[in-house]
Amino acid sequence: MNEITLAINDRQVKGKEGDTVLEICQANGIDVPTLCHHEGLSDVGACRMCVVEIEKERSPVPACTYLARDGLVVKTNTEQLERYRRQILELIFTEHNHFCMFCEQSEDCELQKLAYRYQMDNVRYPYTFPSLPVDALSDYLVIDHNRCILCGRCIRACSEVAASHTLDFSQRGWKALVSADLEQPLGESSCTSCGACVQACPTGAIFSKLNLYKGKTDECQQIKTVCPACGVGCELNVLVKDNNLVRIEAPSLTEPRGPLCRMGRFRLLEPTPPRITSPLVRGKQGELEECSLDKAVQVIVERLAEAKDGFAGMISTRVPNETLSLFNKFIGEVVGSDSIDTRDGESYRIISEGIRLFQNNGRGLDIECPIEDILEADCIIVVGADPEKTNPIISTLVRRAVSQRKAKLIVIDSSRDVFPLWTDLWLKPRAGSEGVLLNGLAKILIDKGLVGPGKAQAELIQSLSQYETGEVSRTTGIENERLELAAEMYGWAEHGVIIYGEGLLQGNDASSITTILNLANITGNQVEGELRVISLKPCANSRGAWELGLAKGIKQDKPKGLYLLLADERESEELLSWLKGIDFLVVQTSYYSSVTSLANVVLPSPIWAEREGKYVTTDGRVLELKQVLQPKDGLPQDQEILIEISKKLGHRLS
Amino acid sequence: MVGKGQALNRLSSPDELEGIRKSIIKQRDPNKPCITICGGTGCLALRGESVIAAFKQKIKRQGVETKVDVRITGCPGFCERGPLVVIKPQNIFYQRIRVEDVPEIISETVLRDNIIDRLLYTDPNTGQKVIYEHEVSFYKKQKRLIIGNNELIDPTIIDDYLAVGGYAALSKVLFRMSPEEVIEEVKKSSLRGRGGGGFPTGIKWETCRKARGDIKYLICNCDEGDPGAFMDRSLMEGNPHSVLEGMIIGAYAIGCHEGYIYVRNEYPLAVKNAGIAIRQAEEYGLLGKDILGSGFDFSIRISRGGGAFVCGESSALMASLEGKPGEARAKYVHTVERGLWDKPTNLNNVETWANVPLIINQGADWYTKIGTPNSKGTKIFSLVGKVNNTGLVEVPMGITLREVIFDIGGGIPGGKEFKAVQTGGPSGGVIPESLLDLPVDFDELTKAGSMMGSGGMIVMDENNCMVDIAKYFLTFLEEESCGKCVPCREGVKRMREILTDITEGRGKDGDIELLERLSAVIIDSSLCALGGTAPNPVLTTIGYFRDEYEAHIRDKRCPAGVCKALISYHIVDEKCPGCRLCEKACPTRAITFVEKRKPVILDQEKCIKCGICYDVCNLDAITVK
Repeated sequence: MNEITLAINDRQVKGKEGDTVLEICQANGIDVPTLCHHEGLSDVGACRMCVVEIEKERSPVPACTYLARDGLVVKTNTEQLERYRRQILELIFTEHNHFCMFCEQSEDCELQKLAYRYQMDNVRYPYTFPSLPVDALSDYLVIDHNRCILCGRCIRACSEVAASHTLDFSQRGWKALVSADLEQPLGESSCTSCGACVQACPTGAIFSKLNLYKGKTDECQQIKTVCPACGVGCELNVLVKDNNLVRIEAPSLTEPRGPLCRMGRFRLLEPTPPRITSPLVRGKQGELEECSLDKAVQVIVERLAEAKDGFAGMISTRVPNETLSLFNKFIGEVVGSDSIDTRDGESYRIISEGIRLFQNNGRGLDIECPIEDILEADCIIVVGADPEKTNPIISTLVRRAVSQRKAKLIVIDSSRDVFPLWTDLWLKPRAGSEGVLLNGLAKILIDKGLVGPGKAQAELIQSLSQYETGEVSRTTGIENERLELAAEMYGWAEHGVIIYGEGLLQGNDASSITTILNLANITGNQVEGELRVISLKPCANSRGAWELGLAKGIKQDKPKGLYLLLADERESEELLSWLKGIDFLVVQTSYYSSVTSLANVVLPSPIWAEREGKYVTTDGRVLELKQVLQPKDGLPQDQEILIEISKKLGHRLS
Repeated sequence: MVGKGQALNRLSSPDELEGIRKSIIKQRDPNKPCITICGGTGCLALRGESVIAAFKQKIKRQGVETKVDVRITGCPGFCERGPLVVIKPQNIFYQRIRVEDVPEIISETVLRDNIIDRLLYTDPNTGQKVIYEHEVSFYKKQKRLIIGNNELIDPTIIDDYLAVGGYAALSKVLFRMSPEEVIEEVKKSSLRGRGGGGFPTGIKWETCRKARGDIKYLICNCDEGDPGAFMDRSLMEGNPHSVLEGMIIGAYAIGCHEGYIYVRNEYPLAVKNAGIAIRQAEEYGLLGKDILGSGFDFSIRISRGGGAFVCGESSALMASLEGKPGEARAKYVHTVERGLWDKPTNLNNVETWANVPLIINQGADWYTKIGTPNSKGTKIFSLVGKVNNTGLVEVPMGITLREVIFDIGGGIPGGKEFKAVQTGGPSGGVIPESLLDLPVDFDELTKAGSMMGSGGMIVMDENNCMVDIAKYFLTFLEEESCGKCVPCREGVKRMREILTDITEGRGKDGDIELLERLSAVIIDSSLCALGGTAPNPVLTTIGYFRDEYEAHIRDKRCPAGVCKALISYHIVDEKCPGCRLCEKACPTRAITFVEKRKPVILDQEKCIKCGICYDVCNLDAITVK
């Protein structure tokens, strides 16, 4: 990019060709007021606050959409411009109902700040007091049209960042309103509650119920950390006031892991079950009773001294690497058991077996590509996964590829189309026949010659010979034509990405993983040893735990004793039924739950915001989880308790 | 002759085109009587359809099909006097034809050459009957280069267009000119866009040709939205092939292979006729792949608009064409570089395209002889309002407003005083009597505070209130503002509210200044031309008729007697014979009959100022104060 020089307010400043005048002003500390501009969103020049005078232009132009050229002479602060800006503000203020004393956004409102800046002591036009609706039926979001200035930032955030395309204007002119879908209430619309619109709104027109009246930005401490909600590893900007969570924001809307989803932005702020605030042991009457940590440790130590045989450890993968390593040592060295697993270890064993079968050269999960690859894709296959449920950001990236890059989207799912508004082709195999389907696709690709040179080795061709299209069609219940269409869409793509998840692992069939890797490999969807394949990991630090070797598996069907470090992971039916019948159960967890009611000893555990350590994301990046809150009631960290027990058993862990 | 529904032979060389043209002309006897009936929307709305049906039926019944042709043509422009019928070859001009007149026209005029006196046009100024079309004062001063063919051809029959020399320019361009030469010729002609902006067409084409991009689009803007304007409509309805030919020439010059006609769906006949024309041109090989065997490909598709005024603005039109809401975008990167689907796009309006074949056929040197130094050629105006001859007029640039309104338009009806003329549609301004000798061209109208726009011309007389007129246009613009930018969305609304207050007696000192202040911010900071020109009707009426504003605000009086809140009706006792006409017409029974030969009494409390009594009174016994 060529460097250009402009004269802005009689000052020589430099910028790059292709920059807008506004960007150059901002980079050089020249303050130009804006309302419809938002970092990371496209500019539309709607509010006209940023109008500047440019020599040889017959009227003022908005700095946000005007591309700078070398030698431009710009004035940003003439008397006339300031007059225009004030007049525009007056028009905005009388358009809808802007009454700061009733608005949660007061002090954080861009419109209010501009009103102060332009010393708006009065407006010259009568207020219109329109009667506008408020939509508060969504779980997390509220749209109050009375406070809307129709800048369209939420709409651009919804289409460009979230790629949800839920919001748009209905009607036109001064009758225009921001509407979801075809004027649906937000809660009944295609809205995914990602909250990008909340972050984009300059006023209090779109806000979250979970942030209300908790604190103003200036009163808060802002801490950057990583999201514990799933394995994608989005960065969070957490706002904290008086050791309470106020709000969670995306540090940047533009980064692929930037926009956040309802899980990261809102669900983490939701009320939790009651916290465990003290160790508990089961008393004589069979009731859990509060006790000191010493007492609880004593009970555990006694039980372990009695019989270490048949004792196993299980840990949630929501905890950081440091806790995982220590737990690994604790079970191995202190308890002396090689029976250890993570909550999601079964998934790992299938995936790693699949990778092993694909190529026996010792590569592991690092054979997968980074999630950013989705944005480059021109064809995406989603198989046995529901990213909108498990990893909403992945679903955002898929939608972005489809809407912005016109990527083709193929969903393979036996029960439902997980991207109903976006799918080009939904293949619905009979339950359990996904593996056959994938092999069938591989065979069609080879038969049609849609494979890279030398990629289809004789051994593979041989092994696929049983997957004749007709046969595959009979087994899966999908017509030949659709199979061929899917193969062609993927085969012709230059950048095909396959995403698979839990649904595919349920069949316990590692060979379908191998087939997926084969598909990517034969079609040349491979860069520097990485295949364009992404497996969705169930938890925030699943990959960290698996790579540390904690997913060994529990040897017995039902161990006699179990140390379960559940942390702040919520209970599940499947876990509960497995835990029933274990003689001695130690649960280290944050919340009271059905799991604690089965336990013999319950130990406290901090929640995500009170912990720190390293997370490994689903695609192998190592990120830092920061402590944003002081642990409730001075509770100890998970590691401290493990070290305490070890000490009692004569081990020194660190 | 090849007509509707018959397959056409594909032409694959210029010679074949000329061959078929010759054979079409040869088949036609120029001396055979031909009844041409206007099939334009104006005449159809005046029951022209039944007149057409009656002619066809009667000719069949009288067994004279072989002796006389019937041609349903496009709009010749004189809508005031429709349905129009012209008997050729003599060009006998009959107007306001009803079904009952049809047998007589056939038996008397067509078969016996007798003129039917009562169907002739009477000149409002001289009171003389006029027999021949070219002698009608409405047509005399016009220069009908573009619209003239409307009445010669049936727009649904391509052969009619070929018979008047159609597609000769295309053939010339494809085989005897390079794209650069075409652009050079158009540049030399100084043709300026007829849609409102007046941007030089040749330069636009050149920029688009030079713009980087493998795919380029061409658009014909037929989203005419000015109230009362229908130039583009009648061209598209009446002579669609001239537009297509212009577009194909433009596409060849620029290097486009795909074009769109964006036409509002409120123009059903334009949509239909454009569709027929495209089909017929394709069948003849004048459109589509390998046009006339030249190897040049160009296809045209029709996109129907929803009728938003703002979609006449190029970037809003393109957004709408893409399927997005019709909103303008900042155009610091011009649409010729990044337009439809971000590809270089050349957009011109219907009339501009229709000028192109003419320039190619006659040459730029000939073309530049017409008009003023900065505005060449002719311009079609839709002359409406308080004028005797309403309709479409095509005049050379530089003609004065007085000539258009008084010579062609025949002056103001009812002997009323001319007050002002509004040009350029809602974004234009009003021009007062003192400027009637202003030559009509792009720059002069702009200097007067108005604009050429797409060619609307609304004449107003002493009974038009200028504040009310300004309010009318601002109401239109408020309704049509897309709402994207604040100054237009809210500013125009605020201006309209102030104007409403003034017309309803709530005006106050300072309102005029507030209007002017709002105008400045709207003009200077709106996103597109809709907002940028929206205050024009207000500023020009304030400029030329400030006293009317002041009368409304200070004296609470509407000098033109229009603004209901400021006027009252009164009985002139000495003139009222108590005939009871007004009493019967009054919807609120505000008028009481006393006795014969005594004036009626009007109760101001009950009067809703509807003006019906004023209209029904034959004796001027009711006045407005």
